[in-house]
Amino acid sequence: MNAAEIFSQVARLLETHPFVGAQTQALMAVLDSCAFSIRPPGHVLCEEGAVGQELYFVLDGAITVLRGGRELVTISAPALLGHMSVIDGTPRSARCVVAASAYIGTLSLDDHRYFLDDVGVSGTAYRRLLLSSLNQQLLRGNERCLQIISGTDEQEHIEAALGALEGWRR
Amino acid sequence: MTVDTELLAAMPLFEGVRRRSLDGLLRAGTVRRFAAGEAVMTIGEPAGCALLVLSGALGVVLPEGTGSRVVGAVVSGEVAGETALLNPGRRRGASVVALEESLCLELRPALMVEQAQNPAVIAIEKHLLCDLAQRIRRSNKNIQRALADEHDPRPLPERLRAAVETELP
Repeated sequence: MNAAEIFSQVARLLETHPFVGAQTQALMAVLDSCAFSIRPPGHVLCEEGAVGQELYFVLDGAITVLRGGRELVTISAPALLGHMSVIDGTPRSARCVVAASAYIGTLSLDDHRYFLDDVGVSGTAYRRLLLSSLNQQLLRGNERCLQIISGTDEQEHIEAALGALEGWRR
Repeated sequence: MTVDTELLAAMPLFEGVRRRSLDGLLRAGTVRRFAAGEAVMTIGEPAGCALLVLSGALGVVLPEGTGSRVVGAVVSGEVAGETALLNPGRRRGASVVALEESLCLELRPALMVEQAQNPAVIAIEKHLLCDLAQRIRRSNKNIQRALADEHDPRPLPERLRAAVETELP
């Protein structure tokens, strides 16, 4: 992907995770710190239970999220992945496998910490992108669960509630 | 209403933040006092602001039957209604009342833009990041527990509702 294509995908990412004062250009400085690579289908991006050492900007392709071997969802680019574990230092809650050839920007833990404390516009954009993503994840998970509860069949409740865990569904 | 900067300085989330930054936050925000039992936020209304609790405690309230029920508390050093700072205008998912006399700093989206580089605002953002991550994990655990607990006499939908209600944003 060239710079214009990356810019376009970052702008789309901000549309998915909106926040007050969002600026694509400010977030581009964070992307400038990423290591970019193309990952083939089947490549394991991160393992369930591992301690997060990086997070991922998925700019092209698709990633399947699995827990305990069970597929939760397949996420298409643009997307942010692996940030929960990096934020709170807990083990990763799911395994992420490339479903369709993916162009990925990897942000290291050191750079994550740098932007977390950065007082400039890039730090603000980065923190608020993460906040927006987590806020939506919690809202979506809760809303999905409450929708399920309003259903009628108990078995259906159980299966659908399992799918709602982590709020992965979009 | 004036509030001593020391009140903020004593909060763990502002550890290491200079007094002048906390002063800047206090000047930019509006301090509000709520009497015990007073309505603070109403479910369904557009979310216009978040509240940083300076003292006292707020209760998160959901309707139940013809009445209502407190499903969680927001205490000193915590933020209620943070969705307003990210997606202003989104409808409130729950009501909030003051459980006791409470002092809160009103955080509006405009403040978050104007004070974006203020270390006190950055501290709030970092606190919220950890808080949200923990709430997502707690919510997931609650759901898993609700699904697995065969000894709970309540119907499954009721158990699931209780599992997610405690972590409403």
